[in-house]
Amino acid sequence: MKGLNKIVDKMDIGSTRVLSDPETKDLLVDSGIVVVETAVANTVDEAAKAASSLGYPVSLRPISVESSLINTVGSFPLGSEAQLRSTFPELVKDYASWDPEIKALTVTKVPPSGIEIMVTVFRDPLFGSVLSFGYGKMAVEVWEDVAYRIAPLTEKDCRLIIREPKGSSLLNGYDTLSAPRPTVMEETLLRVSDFVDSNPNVESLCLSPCFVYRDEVIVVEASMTLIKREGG
Amino acid sequence: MDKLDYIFNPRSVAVVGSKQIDNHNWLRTVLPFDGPKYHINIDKNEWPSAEELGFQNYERLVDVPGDVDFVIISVPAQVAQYVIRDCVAKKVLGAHLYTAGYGEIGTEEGIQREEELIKIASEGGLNVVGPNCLGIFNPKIGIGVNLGGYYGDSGSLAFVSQSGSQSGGFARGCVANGIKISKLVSMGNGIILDSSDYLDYFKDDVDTLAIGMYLEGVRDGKRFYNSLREVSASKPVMVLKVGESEDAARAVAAHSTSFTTGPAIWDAMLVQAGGIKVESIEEIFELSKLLLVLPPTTGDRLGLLALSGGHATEMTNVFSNAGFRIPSLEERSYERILEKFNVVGSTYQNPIEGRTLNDPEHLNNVLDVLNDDPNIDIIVHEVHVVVRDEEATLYRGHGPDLLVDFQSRARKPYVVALSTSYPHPPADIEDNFYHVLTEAGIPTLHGLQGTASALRKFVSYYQNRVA
Repeated sequence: MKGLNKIVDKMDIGSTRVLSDPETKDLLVDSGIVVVETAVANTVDEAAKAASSLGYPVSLRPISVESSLINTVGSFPLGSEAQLRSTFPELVKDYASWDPEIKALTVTKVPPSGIEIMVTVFRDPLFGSVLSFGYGKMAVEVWEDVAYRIAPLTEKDCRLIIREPKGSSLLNGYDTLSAPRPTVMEETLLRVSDFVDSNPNVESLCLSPCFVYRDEVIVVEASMTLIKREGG
Repeated sequence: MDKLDYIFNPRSVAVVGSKQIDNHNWLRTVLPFDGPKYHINIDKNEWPSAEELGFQNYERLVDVPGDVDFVIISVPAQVAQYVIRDCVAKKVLGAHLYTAGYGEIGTEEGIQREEELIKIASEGGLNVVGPNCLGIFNPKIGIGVNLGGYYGDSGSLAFVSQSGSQSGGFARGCVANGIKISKLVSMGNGIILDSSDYLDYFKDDVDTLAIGMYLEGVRDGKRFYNSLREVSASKPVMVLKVGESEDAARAVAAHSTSFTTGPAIWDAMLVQAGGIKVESIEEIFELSKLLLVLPPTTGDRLGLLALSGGHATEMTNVFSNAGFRIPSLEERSYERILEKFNVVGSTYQNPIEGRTLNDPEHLNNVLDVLNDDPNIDIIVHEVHVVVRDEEATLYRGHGPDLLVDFQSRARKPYVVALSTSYPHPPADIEDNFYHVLTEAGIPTLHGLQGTASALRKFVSYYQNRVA
């Protein structure tokens, strides 16, 4: 986990740092977790270049560590370069009203619809790192349809946590969404658990939304908080 | 030998600070104990009465000529640390500190005293039960008999309690329920020996088959989780965790030094570790009747015998809501039932009930059919004690012998649910039947809802273990 250690090395003992979506995704990819292809664009030209290499439709999001903005704002899918060029400056202006520090945007390929899941890790004062799992942000936060496990998770824990929420009937597929192979979700959760377990500097992690397809789980948006402890 | 074994199975015992004015309660609690017993007291006025009870008197622990395994300390908090120092000097193997006035009172003085105690004990390698608790009960060797209320007759249920009154109440409740305790500990603040230590000890204790816990909180969550996970793989652990609502959390904070984590996380931890979450002490009694007697069972298909048609439908409702299946029997089973069954006014699909079961031959036939039918994993028999013509019987007219006889030939778990929805017979009469059934090894539970809930947790525990 070289990338993560590099970041932690530069932190002061006792300090925390919130990583942006692209920074978080880079670290996840190193751990074998699949993320949606994401590029960083400082200018509209960079955005256009990235979009043509990713392929349309794409969406634009602010790179921000303001927690209120993470996972909450972003553009609608942009289908063409013309659309992207007209939207880019508007978004930069818009986002500046929330966070004047925002200069760059992320360009991500818009993934096809899949079954939505939300995975988080947070630190419980008694039991240490805890992983939460639910079928999408709204299910988790509004209906409180969420399951928890103490990290690290075993294969059995992963098998059971995805079946615990009521939303697990989605495992049979829904409407036009095909039923995923449960093992692809279990494997992803195991990787997330291993990632947190092998990096005690990870204080919290939020992967939401992630889309689940028949043979793959893709993280669409991600954020992470690091903490540098004494001796860490 | 496990370090805790000298606490639960000491070879010698000393009591520090017993008083005649308290009827020497702390001496009496180890009175039946067979090994060397010492009474330590600087007040020699207490000596003659202690000697009458069979104790050798000494001023200080260090004066005792032989080894001392276990010490019970009941002195004021201001002087307890001197006794603890003597325990260290004497190299005793365990000390129970009844004394209160430590972290649990929340004052600076109390917290400081607790820190001092932790320091002396950990530096001296002393295993401390407590402080602020009623200590150990081992009925087999007669330790803590005031706490447990009896001795001599030991069983296979262990209990760990953060509350003293809950532990004493539990021991007496076990007697009323016909459940026998292997070992019990009221652990108080748990400053040196914490709930995880006791859990680990009971895992390897050959006398213990199942464990109950009354918890307000734990000091080291991760360690508790790991212990619970390991113990649950071989022995069922029933956990009653209180302090889960805001009001309850405040009550816990006022009672002990534990702090609370969210109830959803506690629940998840229990599931993940394979523990059994219970909601009350009564539930521990009901569940223990199943866990201590029945073999591991993962099948959830029930054969139900009901008191009446109405009870049959209620029973189906209650047990299927608890997640059980109540399947049809094999064709061959129905043929066998109908050989000895009057279908008029009866139900025989499953559940089975009817006036025809007044005839012992018919009832035995139905029980044997359920015993043989491969679609059925567990037989649940609803019964009710009635007094008719001045004779007490199980509804409909049978004595407990019929059930006891069937139990001896049953090849699958056979559970009796005592109905609570008929007018009750006199308590002593019902108790008598209850104990006959229980002593014959038939788990006898109260009410359909209570039976369904306990049975569900029983089966889920074993299902979870193999999942």
